Amino acid sequence: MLVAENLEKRYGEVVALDGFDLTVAPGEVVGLIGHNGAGKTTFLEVVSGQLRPDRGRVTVCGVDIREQPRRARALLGVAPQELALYPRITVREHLVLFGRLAGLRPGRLRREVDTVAGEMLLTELLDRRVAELSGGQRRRVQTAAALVHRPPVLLLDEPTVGADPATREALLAAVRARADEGASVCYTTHYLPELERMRAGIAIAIKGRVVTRDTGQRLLAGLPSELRVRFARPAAPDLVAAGGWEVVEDELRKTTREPGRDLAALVGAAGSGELVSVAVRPPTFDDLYHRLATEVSDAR
Amino acid sequence: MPAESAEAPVSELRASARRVGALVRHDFLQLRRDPGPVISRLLMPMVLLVVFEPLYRATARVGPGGSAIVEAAPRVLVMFSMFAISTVGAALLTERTWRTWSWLRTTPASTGELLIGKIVPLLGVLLLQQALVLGMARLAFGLEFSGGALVLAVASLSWALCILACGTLVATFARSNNQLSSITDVSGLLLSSLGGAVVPVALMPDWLRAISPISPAHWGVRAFQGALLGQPGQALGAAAVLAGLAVVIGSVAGWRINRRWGRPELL
Repeated sequence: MLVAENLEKRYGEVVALDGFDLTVAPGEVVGLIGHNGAGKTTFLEVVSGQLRPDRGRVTVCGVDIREQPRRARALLGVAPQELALYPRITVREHLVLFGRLAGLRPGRLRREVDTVAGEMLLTELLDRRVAELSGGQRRRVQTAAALVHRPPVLLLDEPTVGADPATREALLAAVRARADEGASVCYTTHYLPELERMRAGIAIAIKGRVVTRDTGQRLLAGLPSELRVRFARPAAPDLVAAGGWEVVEDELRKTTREPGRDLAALVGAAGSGELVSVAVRPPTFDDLYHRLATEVSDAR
Repeated sequence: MPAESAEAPVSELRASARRVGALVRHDFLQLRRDPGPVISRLLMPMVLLVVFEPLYRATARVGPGGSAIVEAAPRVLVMFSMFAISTVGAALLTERTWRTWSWLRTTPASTGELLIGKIVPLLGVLLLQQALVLGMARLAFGLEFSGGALVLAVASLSWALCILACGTLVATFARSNNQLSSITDVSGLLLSSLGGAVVPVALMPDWLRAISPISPAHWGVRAFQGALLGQPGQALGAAAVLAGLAVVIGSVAGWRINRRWGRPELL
């Protein structure tokens, strides 16, 4: 269980965390999303003990990260955003190092190295040096090192950046499996389909705080879709203006909660004989993010 | 449900010793995989000793009870240890540029454990360097350890610790390997020369002789010469100064490292 309460962190005038709250329950994967500078990486650095917050509290399985930092860190598995591996050291040696630092004894360490290597498609690469691996393979090594000691809390910071589809699939499956075993997983990404694939809850961070937290489906349910209609000939300007449509190249577009009614009104006025195509783009997390960002700015 | 801790609880001291052991093993492995710089640091002083010994014999600047090899061996040893500061600094700076230091700090290992893990293999290299130079001086040129093995060991250890502290401090200031090389090349040569590791202090002008003690090399040469000439007072006094320098310089380095030094984005 990971609990962060009212975290604040400033760098001079820059506010990186501004009342950041997040709870990740055992067995849960939470996708922490937000634009660059939203506070995601700062949050992960505070939780992993690399940064000290100015205010607020973090507990990992009930252990306060400030009061018992070493005990708290022993409960974490961290895969940083940037690759951070030793080029002349083999994959196995990396996993052994992180397993030993977490306190695994030799027998269990050997078993866990083999298991995690299998999960992350690294078995054939165990005795290869990192310098000989591709970017995607290195990414898998980094995540495997975070998983090797089966920590109850996992912090994964954009672990699939630059990864090929096979790497991504292996990684997502391994992370979901760990959550199914009871781990709390906090996962930052810009690839939102990954979160659906892991059945993750979503927390959206804007300007240093989590502004909303729910399932993807529920977060998108109240948002408007975008209706796109194309006619054989340009529509009359008065018709466009009256319906609140926007002309983009040769297409009419409208953001609406009732695409059926708006389409019927448009076709009724223009006549269906001229109609070439109709498309409805469902709401995306980008739409949600933009709307929330505007609301947060307006509220301050 | 994953276990809350990786294994059955052990005492904190034992757990710490295990982590340090893992880090030491890891850093020895890294040295083994990239042995070039270490080999050159081990071989070069032995080659230079062959050149220096006849030079000191020819100039006849040999003090009472001394010999050309007693003059040459400590100087070569101290000069090349000064250059080894770059090896120490590079080992730490590389952790930062590879971003591995930040990652290791997310594990249960403390900053102190991480530093010990890095320093122990380098301490081994420095002591081996000294053993090789002194061993070769004994075998090839008949160097006698008149002060006894214990005094020599104290001199060796205090000198090595001082070098490790200097290398660690330099690593906290350098922002790239090129910058590190520039700092250590220039400071290594200057401090070696000033401390009497190239030319004996007695041959220097008065003003240089007066400021020579500000260089750790000055105390390094005194410690080794005292140990070799059977002057334990001089050797242990100089070793105490070196140990003090190691503590002060090491404390400053440790303070800088704890102030977010490892963060690669601050490079």
